[in-house]
Amino acid sequence: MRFRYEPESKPLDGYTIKRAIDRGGFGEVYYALSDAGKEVALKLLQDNLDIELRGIAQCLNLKHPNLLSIFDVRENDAGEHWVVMEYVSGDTLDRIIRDHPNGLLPRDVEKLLQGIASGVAYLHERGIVHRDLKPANIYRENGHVKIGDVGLAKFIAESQRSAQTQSVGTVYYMAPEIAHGRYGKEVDIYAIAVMTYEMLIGRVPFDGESTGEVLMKHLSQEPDLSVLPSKLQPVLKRALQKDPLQRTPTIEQFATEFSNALNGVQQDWDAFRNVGQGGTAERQAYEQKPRNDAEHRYGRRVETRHAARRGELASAQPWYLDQRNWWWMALAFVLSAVLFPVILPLTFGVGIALIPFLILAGFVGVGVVTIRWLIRAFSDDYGVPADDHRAGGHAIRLNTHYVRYQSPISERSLSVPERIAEASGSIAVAVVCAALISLAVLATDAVMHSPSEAVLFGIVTALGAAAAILPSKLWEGHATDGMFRRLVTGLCGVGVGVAAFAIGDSLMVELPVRDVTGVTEFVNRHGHLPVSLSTSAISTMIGYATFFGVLLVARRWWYHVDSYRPKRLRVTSVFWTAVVATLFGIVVRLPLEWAAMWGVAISTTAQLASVWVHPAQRPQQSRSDMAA
Amino acid sequence: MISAISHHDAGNTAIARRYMAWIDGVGNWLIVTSPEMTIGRATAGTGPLARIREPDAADCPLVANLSRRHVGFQRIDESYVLQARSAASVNGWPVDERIVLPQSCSIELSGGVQLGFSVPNQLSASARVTFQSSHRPPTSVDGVILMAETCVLGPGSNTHIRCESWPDSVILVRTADGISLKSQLPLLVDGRFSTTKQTVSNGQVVRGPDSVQFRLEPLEERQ
Repeated sequence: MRFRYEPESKPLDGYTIKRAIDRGGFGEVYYALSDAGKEVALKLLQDNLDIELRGIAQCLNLKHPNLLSIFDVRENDAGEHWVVMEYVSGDTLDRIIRDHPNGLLPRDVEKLLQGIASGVAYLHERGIVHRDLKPANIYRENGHVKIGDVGLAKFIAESQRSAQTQSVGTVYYMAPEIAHGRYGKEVDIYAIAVMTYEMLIGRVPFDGESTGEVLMKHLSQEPDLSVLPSKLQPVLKRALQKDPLQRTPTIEQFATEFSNALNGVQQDWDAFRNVGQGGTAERQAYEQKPRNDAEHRYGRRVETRHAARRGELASAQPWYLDQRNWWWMALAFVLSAVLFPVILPLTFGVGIALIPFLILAGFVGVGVVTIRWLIRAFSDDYGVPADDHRAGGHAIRLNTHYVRYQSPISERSLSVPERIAEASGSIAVAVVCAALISLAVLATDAVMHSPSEAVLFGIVTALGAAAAILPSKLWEGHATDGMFRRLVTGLCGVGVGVAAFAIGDSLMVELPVRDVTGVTEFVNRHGHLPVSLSTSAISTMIGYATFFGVLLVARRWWYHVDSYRPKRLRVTSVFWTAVVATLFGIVVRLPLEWAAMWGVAISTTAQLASVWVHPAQRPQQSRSDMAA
Repeated sequence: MISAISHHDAGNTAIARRYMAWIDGVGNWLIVTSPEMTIGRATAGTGPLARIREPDAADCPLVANLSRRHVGFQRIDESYVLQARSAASVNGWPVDERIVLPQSCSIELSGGVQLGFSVPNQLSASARVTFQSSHRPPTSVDGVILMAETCVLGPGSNTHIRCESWPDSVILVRTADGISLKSQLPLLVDGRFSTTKQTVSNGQVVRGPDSVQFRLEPLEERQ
């Protein structure tokens, strides 16, 4: 992050820049002192060359204790436009939320909301819509709330700003009607409701992997209110309505409803509903409300983006969460249940062992999905008791890929000593994990029956985890080609297989592995060796090497062990690794229980042993990450 | 008369008594290199950046209802002693003239002024004073560092000045020639690669990777 102006430079007559503050959506912001010693924030407007200065004039003289004052807009000799603003030394709401990953106390939210509502109500009373309310634009200085960038959002939207998605952070707070180019005061109410939701539980109601996904959720998906205290649910439900006419009509009313709900004051929701719904005439007036050209352009642009992304957006909501699909799910579940026992003996009889296990995987998968759907449906009906909302929110948050923070695909710098330290520490933990797992498996007496078998299982598990961790640590934070990574981990896997054979041989543990590739037979027939190779030994080695090589190729191990992976241990990763291991165990004719357990053990060990940084403790994604 | 930089510590004439650290994306921190530091009421011309400094002005003047030199912090070896010239309390206990401060405590002065005191890094005797009430110096300051031999700036929780977005720490080290830098990061001082002997105590701009950029501005005082 480089800034154009150095400390002590004077790009604007009468002001000396002392340091940079931040780089926002509109340009760079500096802390500066006037010649008389007045502290100001100087905002250098960038990427908006076609600026109409009169657009900001209506906001220049606004005075309200909850609005950040704009002192002046000036142009320097170089033709740069500068906004001279009040300097606030406190934290932004964004920072406050990051410092409270489980959410703020409802009483603290109430205080912040009152300040925000007071400032925004002042704007709305004067016919001004902020349009870009988000936590990064809200400041708290000595407990006092200040709203920043007043007037700039409209200012920019009417010039060259493209679809207001320069920062993905903005789309988290974007009302659905913005897609149609409508910018009533309702968009501010919606944005504040989203921020209130985020303040309460530490995450936004709609997030996703891409801008399009988030926008689509705003347009089509209902927010999960069950994670909120039950008394606040109706307040947020109304303020987050998709239809602006159904939404809480004024920001003061939203703040009042919030306080009343928190204080246990009875509210007449029917009366509110009548106020909020609006009659046919009101709706027509709203629909026919003239939009200025810039808004119209803006709206079209967003809609075009939607059309272009439709293929991507169609998958924004997982199919199993769409309640219309539940009949199909039930049918698939019943069919799987019936087909599995019928097909299993038949296919085994003709040697096609793969099919029943694919059906088994499908059966288990559909079962898991059905149970998840039922739990979700149940939760929607009954909600979460108010006292439990924090625990509920936490559980939900763990299942959320919070894209605003860095992920395994984010590029970052790690020093060589850090990589060595993390890799060696993880491998040490992997050894302990593998030993514990092998002891646990031995104790069940289901897969292995002797200590030497447990030793073989444990050592190979540790080696497999190390083969996943070591090369992955070399690449962490770099943009290396995925195929190359798979190739390298696969080669490491072949090494693990050879080592497994050698260890098994020395421990005199013989698993009935067969060489289905026919290599041993080929070498004995055409190799002209003085002594024939032991078929069983060579076959076992090739079987092992093939099995572990494929296991280390087939999965994205660098993603599973990256310190910025979504969760410390993903059960789905373990499940799919076990499926892959089982399938290739069949191919090389390794005992299935050993193959499946190795898949489970290596995946679990590698994930548990690898360093993991909680998403809230990671740096935020840079714009280049988001673009990528 | 505007004087040259005032000096303290016999034998170390290259270090100013106070610096303002302007740190990009982080804030403004007052660094006091003297073993003694006073906090008191701001009067005309007593702000941290005031060009003319009155002789009895506090090192850290606050816009608050305080005495001109309300309390003093004194570093003795690795401990800090609070000397109260007017009403003050530590963790709610009134201070009778002097008290040895614990590693972390809350200090309340008259007029509702609340300060936080801590020694964040056990390997350094430097301490940090933060403002817990809304009272601040006339020019915005996020906190005061009572610098002993070192001052750590970086992303960790045991740093004196926390710079969350920095990839690694930078240590300010007091040397015979001034304040120099130690870091694993490649740093440029006024555009040139820094060496361990190079000082940064004359207002040089220090720049590193990512968002690392800061400047120590020596504060001029009347002798």
